[in-house]
Amino acid sequence: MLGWLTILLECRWQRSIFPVAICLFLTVCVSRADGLELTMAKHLFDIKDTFNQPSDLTVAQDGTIYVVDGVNGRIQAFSPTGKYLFTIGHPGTGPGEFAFPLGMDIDKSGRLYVADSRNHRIQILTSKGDFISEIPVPDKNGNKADPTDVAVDDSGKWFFVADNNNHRILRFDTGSKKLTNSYGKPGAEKWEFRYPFLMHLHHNKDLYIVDVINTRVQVVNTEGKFVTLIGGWGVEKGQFFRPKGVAVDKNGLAYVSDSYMGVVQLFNITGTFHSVLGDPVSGGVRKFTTPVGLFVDDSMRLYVVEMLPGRLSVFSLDNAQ
Amino acid sequence: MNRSSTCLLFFLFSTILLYHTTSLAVQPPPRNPNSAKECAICHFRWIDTFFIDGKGTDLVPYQATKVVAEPEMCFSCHDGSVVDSRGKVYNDHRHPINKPPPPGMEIPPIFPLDDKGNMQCFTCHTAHGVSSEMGIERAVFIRASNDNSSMCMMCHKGKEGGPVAGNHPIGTIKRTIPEKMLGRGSVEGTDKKQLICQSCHNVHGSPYDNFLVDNNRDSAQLCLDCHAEKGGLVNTGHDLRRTAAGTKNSKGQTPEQSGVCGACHLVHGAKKAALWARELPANSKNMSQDLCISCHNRQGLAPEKSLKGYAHPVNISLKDKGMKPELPVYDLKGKRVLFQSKEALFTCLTCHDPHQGGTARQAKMTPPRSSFLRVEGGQPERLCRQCHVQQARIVGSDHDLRSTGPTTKNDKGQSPLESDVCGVCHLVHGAQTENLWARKVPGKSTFPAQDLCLTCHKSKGEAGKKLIGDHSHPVDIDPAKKGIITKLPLYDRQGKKAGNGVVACLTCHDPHQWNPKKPGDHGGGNPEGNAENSFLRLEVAPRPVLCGNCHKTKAYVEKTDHDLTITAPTAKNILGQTPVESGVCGACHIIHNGKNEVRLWGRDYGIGKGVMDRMCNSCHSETGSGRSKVPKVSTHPEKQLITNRGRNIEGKANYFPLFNNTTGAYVTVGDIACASCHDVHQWDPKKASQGPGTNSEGRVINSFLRMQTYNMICKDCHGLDSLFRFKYYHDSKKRKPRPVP
Repeated sequence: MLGWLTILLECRWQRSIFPVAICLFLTVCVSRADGLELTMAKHLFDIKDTFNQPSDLTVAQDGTIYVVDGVNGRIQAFSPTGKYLFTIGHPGTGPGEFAFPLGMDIDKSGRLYVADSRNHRIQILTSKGDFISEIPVPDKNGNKADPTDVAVDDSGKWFFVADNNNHRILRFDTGSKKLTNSYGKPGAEKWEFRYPFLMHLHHNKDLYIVDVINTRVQVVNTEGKFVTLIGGWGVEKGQFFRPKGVAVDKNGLAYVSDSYMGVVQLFNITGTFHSVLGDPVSGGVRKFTTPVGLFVDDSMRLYVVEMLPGRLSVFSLDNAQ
Repeated sequence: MNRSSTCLLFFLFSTILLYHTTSLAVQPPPRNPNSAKECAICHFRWIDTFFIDGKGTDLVPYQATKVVAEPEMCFSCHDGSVVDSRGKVYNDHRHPINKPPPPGMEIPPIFPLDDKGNMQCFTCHTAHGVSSEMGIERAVFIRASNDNSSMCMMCHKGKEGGPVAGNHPIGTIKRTIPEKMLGRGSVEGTDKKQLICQSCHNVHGSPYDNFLVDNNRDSAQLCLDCHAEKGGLVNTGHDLRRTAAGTKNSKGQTPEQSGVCGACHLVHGAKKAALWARELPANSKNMSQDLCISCHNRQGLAPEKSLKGYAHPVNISLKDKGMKPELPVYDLKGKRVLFQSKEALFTCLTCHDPHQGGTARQAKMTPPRSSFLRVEGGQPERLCRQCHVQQARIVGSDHDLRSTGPTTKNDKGQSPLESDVCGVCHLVHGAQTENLWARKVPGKSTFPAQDLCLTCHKSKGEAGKKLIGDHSHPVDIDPAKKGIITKLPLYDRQGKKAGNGVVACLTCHDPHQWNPKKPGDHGGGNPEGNAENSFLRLEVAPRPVLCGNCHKTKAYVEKTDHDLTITAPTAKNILGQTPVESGVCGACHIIHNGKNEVRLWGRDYGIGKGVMDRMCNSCHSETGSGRSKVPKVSTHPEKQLITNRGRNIEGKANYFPLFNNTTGAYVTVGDIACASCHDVHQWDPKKASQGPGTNSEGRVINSFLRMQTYNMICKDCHGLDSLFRFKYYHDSKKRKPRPVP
């Protein structure tokens, strides 16, 4: 409700706000009248493989699914139908080797960007897993960097890194491998973080950052300006207890996983609660076990990584209600 | 928008807010969200919705119970999103949670269990506790100090006390925890070489059973990380994964489950000796031996390797036998002790290292063959020689069958190259005789001590060219019955040394030493032996030390005129040997392969009626080497039989032996022979010693005469007429028949 109020207060009095307000008011009332809003997702298939606490995924233009199999120190690649294709890397510190990686992203050309957490670096690989380069993530005041995710622009010229332990977001230039900007500090205000974790860069413009202990998703833009907050502390709809993953679909709906409550919630582009991912079979909320990384591809397939069960589930949102 | 519109809009919002405020009016007063959140971030049950409102939500059901430190709650932060404990805590193998403690384990009250009595993260950890000793950067917020694993042992009692208590030792150890283990998370105690629970167990983050820091199944890598020297066992016959995969240790684990080490040893809860993991014989008396026998018995895992036949003795003190091997010795409890210790005994483990790998070739065999001997380079004789130093001199000699009989096979079908030099003649286990002979002894043998040698030294035997012939020095005789005292070894009929035993081949021969005077002389190249070597126990040439050991008075012949090395150095015996080659005794007596039975005479007989005279005349003839000493008068009338009763006791001053003319045997009635008057081995009857060493002219007081020859023998019959008769009538031509009365 506070979210709606904020939007309304930020509107200019000079504009015709009255019809909008009436519309919003009716929406809220109707939602309440109809009970919990659910977005039904049809389950397509699961990938179990031999994951050990997988954390994130990304999907290439050709539909290849890449899963960060962190404790195994590798990336697993699957076909769009979930068939195993190949493995990238193994535990280690050398090029193409990983130490407990957590997050990853992909650019338009299919290059993979992996947050190689314990190696304190970002590794860039070809779509087949061949090593291209590595960008060390610098310490902060003597504290080792803890890159947990990377969000790359489509061209692959630059990318953001979430430095979890240092509560900051870093921007790097891919070509020069240089750190170009550092944003954020510990705290609970705008542009402040308590353990930023997984991210999603939407349309090369808006960066969605899961701010775990602040129990919110903070949205900023590539110019470094704050955009909005999604969610807040609590166990009600639209609130988070342990937000972990975020993805935005082509329509601008944001999907946020909560690993403790075991749900995926949807939010409007303005940050307001939209719905909870539902199960068309039970008709209720679809429950997950430690859901973490999310991805929604252009064909409106939702991918959910569950860490403890070591499972990737794929859903269709085509006919989502 | 005009001012009235603004007012309307404000009214509208006020209405909305009023609606919601009204709907929340039944709820408790406003709360402090920040402080509530900081606690409820873990204390899920304290979230207002549950704790104050007492209800669930659309997303989660009402939380009635405490879940603050249940695994799911901990993992919600320790999944890398706040703290990354994925590898350390949430892998497959960790300290159990969601389970009750094992039966009988007493959990101190300081460690709470959940409502169901199960262990949880909070049993050991609390966010309100104190950080660990490891520093704030590794704070694990445990409930009690775990200095040197003291917290572990608050619950896990009975894991200390070392092997006496059936546990792996903890505390200060001799070894250094290897870097490999430390790199895997192994922790040392406060002292550098202090072994603590966490040295082997990594409570969080281990992918292995019992949250060990390294894999201990299968090839037991954890054990071998420290005990690398035991790794030779892998893939040998003692690797029970290969040889007894279906068996179980005392914890019911198969070798694969327990790991190659755990099949025989338990780190905790073991039988006390050697942390043994298998059944031990009841009433065990020698633990280190019984460890082996627990498998190597007819009902055990290795019945085909159980003790059969005769075996090398155990439970003996090597120190008492004057042996000084660099091999381990053990007390009756199976503990390795210092060699000088009174309790130090020779046991199975003295020769065998059950962890020792065989050669690469043996390891590839199916089943793998390794005798687990403590030898380098696969040469067992190197082990035998540690104790049997003198016997090791056999190497390179004619008795080293690797060169002289490579096709020979012992009872096990092993060639010398397979069994090594000792094994071709001796089996340490499964031998047929007490002296561990490795060859088949004739079943009807009445004197195995000799037959051992004859297994090879026989026609068509491996040593068929080295036979003893028809006429040899007698064996199986008791020297004592002949009044002979010797320092040479005597043997019982089974071949075991016995002070009151009989003469055997081994009395004179040491089959392990080619040259008694030169231990380094192995006679390499299969040479023909002589009286200086030939595996004789003592030298026969140039000095008759060996023969003289029994035949003490006969050895006085040395350096007399009958020592042909002085008086006839070029004369040859019937074997063609000069006195130097044959030795003093051998010039006249052939111990083996002689032609003559009587006195083993080694020369061609001369003329004479009796065999004893013919022996003398071998040399004392016109063409013999003693031709200058042919007595002109030397005979006594025949058929005048003499009796020597009272003078037939050797050693007495009046000894006057008579001989059977044919056999040379001592008789009491017979003809006088040369040897009746002469002791051919002693130059001077008054000097019981060797001769002067010169070819001297004799007189009546020496000249090999017996003690009282000159004044008693003749007088017995002839009285005062003796000398007269001796001078004038010993010439047979001067004798005339006695006139018939």
